Amino acid sequence: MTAVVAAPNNPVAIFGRFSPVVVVSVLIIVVFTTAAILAPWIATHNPNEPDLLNTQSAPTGTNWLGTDNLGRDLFSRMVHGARSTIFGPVLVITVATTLGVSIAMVAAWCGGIVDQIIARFIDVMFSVPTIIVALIVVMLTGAGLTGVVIGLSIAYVPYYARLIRSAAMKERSLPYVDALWLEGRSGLWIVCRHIIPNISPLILTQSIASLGLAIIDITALSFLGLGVQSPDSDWGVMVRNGIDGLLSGRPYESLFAGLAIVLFAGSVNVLGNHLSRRFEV
Amino acid sequence: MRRILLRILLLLVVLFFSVFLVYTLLYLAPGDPIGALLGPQSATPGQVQLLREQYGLDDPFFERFSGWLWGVLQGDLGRSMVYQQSVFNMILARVPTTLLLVGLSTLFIVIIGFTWGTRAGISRGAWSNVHLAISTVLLSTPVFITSVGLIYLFAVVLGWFPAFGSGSDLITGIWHMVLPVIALSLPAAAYLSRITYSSVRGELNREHVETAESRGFSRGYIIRTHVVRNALIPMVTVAGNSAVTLVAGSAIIETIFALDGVGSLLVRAILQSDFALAQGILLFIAVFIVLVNAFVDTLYFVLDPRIRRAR
Amino acid sequence: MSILSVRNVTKAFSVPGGSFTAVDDVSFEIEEGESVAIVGQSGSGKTTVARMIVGLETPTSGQILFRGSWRKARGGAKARREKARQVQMVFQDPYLSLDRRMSVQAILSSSISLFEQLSKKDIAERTRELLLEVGLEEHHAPMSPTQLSGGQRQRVAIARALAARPDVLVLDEAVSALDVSVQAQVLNLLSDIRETRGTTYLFITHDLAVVNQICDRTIVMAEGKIMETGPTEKILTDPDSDYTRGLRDALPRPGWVPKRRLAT
Ligand SMILES: Nc1ncnc2c1ncn2[C@@H]1O[C@H](COP(=O)(O)OP(=O)(O)OP(=O)(O)O)[C@@H](O)[C@H]1O
Ligand SMILES: [Mg+2]
Repeated sequence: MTAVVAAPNNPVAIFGRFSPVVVVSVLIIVVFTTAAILAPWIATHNPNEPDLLNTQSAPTGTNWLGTDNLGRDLFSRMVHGARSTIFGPVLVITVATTLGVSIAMVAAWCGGIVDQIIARFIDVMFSVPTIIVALIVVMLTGAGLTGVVIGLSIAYVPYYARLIRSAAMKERSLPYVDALWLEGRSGLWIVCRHIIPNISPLILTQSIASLGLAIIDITALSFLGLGVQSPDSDWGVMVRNGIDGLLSGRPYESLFAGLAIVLFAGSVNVLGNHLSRRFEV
Repeated sequence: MRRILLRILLLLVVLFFSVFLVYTLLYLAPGDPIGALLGPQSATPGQVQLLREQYGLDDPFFERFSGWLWGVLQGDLGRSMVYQQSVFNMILARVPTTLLLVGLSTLFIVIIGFTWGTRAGISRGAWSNVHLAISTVLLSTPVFITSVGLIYLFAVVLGWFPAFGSGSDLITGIWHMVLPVIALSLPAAAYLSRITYSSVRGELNREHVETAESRGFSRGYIIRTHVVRNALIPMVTVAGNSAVTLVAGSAIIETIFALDGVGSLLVRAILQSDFALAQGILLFIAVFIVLVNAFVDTLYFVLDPRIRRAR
Repeated sequence: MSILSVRNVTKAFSVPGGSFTAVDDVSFEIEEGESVAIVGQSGSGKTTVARMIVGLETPTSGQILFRGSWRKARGGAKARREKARQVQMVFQDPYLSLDRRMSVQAILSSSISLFEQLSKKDIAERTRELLLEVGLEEHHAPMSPTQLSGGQRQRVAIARALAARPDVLVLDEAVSALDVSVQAQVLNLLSDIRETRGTTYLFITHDLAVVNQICDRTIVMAEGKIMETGPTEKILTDPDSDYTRGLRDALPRPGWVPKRRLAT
């Protein structure tokens, strides 16, 4: 019984075989994330220091990606901007997952009228576009990364809650839950130690799938000027900031930032699709 | 019929609660409307008090809400604090732009998405792979990046279309709409084509199609009568959903292309903490969402004989 | 005093457009050490009775007494743990009644630690004991239920129920999902356990062959009501009601051809 039984902690058994596209995607994700973490050491310039004698330059030996309209080094701004562009969505997904899973578990465990109310509420939330929910919250908190993260976290909750609720209901109706209940386990124990771990592949898959959306939404809000505020930047801000240069035929800032967003969000989507196919959800 | 009426009643209840929720949230909002109103000017405490009374800022919550709601029912959405204009008139002035944008986009989405999806669905081989690749890229590209790309390519490099603005009459207006409409439509069109593609594929594999084929009916005839008609139903849902998403997307598109529509007005209202204006626009969007949902439900009912019989 | 008394128990479920009475005024007694079967067609309310006895469902009216004291359904984790020492249940489907993510070892030791204050080492020892008692081997301990056969899983489920050292064991179709040969093994195992522990059994089944093998007394249910009660032998050979006769004759036995029924 050595080779036949796939050990549950063998990575291939968990994640399936990687196709070349998936490998490239994972590589992109790893490289971008590492760059974000190591930003202060990787950046070649101070990202917020203007150099008015060297504005809108094309890529050169010193400014690898060129400079923006204030002469700030684009490579350094990209690397520093990667932080909020990547970790903002990760935070959004973490909060949304936690909230969504909690709500779903309350609904699935309590059932009855509590479940009915939560289900109706999720339905209504569902029909409001995420961007609108985020805009409402940003209006309350004022423009800034905090407001955008809170807003998107709330906006994503119904997506998790709906999916996880039905999975949890199914799990809850299994006789092993009855057995645990009869033994005298508390509801909280059963939910946290048995039901959630059993649907964790679904939670993970859904999280990665919505991470791609969160990256797009968060950069879109930054692009509109509602997210990260000057002088800090993220890739959405940079696409916006680069429009001036783009209109005068120097598209570098918008181009590089836009490309980075598409590459990163695309890679996350590819990974998400791969995982959901793998877990058949 | 009773079913539809009941449905509309439910939607009205939902509408009321969303209006109430939006109002409450903004009521609880921090930030100082008087500060927003005065801008950089300074005012004496007496003047501030006068303004507070004028806008009814010190009345109890339910009084303010019912007053506001009563006004809304009569078409009075209050006054924008930043622009010093009637919110209703401000929105009304911008509705045509947004409706044109959303309307043209919906048309574009339905035509492109449907023909493209059907085409890829009935052809076997390379076409469907090309379709898959292109739609994947379009689906994971955010609209603001598509927009910027389109501006660079068609406005800056090629100079075919204007990059910004609304135009002065209908013709130039539509001319100015070309890039925004394309940018707004592409992801939804890609999505719709995917849905159409798979439902066409599903229909083609069904027995009655094979039977018809074996009886010698032409492929074109079969596709027109069986396949396309059955593929229409999922399309209605998608189109309804995207109409709602389009209004949200119009906030982004209008801001990029400097179109003077409702969406860009909402973004500006939020950036300037103009609560009355934002409230009015959100209300407008809520009504729109409810109406679209009601419309889609009804259309469903008309299109799908199974649902009709079941009820 | 009977170990278990079911008194005028009724259960009505609310269903769309009204309510549905699944169990209708059912009463019976089970004596200490007895092995009793409840048989009946699908939908006759057997599972519902079992679930009310163990406390997974609250009766709409009526009482369930354990040694003369009222067993109320519901209650906090502690109360349920105490009740688990009185009555435990083995579920029909061994594929779904074990947490698929846990090892056999983990399933059993977590149950044991609920009922007995033991050191880590003693828990491991007791787990081993239980495994051997239900006829499994030590090398099964680290395996996941998904790696076991149906019969082996059902043994794990029985071992888990025994961890509480219950006085009464309710078995809801506990062997129905198993192959006939495996079924016999599990039934033998249950007979042995009964001998050594003196456990009282309530067997829920639609399979009269099982009843014949292990039960002293049989209760026949139809449409939520009790049709007849009596010693198993009498029920099998000389039933009072046509319903029971139908049940018995519908029994598929190897090499047994059902009589073609004429118009009824
Ligand atoms: N939670 C419930 N809600 C509504 N009706 C229920 C519920 N549980 C059981 N019933 C109904 O009660 C009746 C009796 O069900 P029960 O499961 O007790 O039958 P059973 O005798 O165990 O049948 P089987 O041999 O098929 O297991 C069935 O008609 C069933 O549909
Ligand atoms: Mg049953």
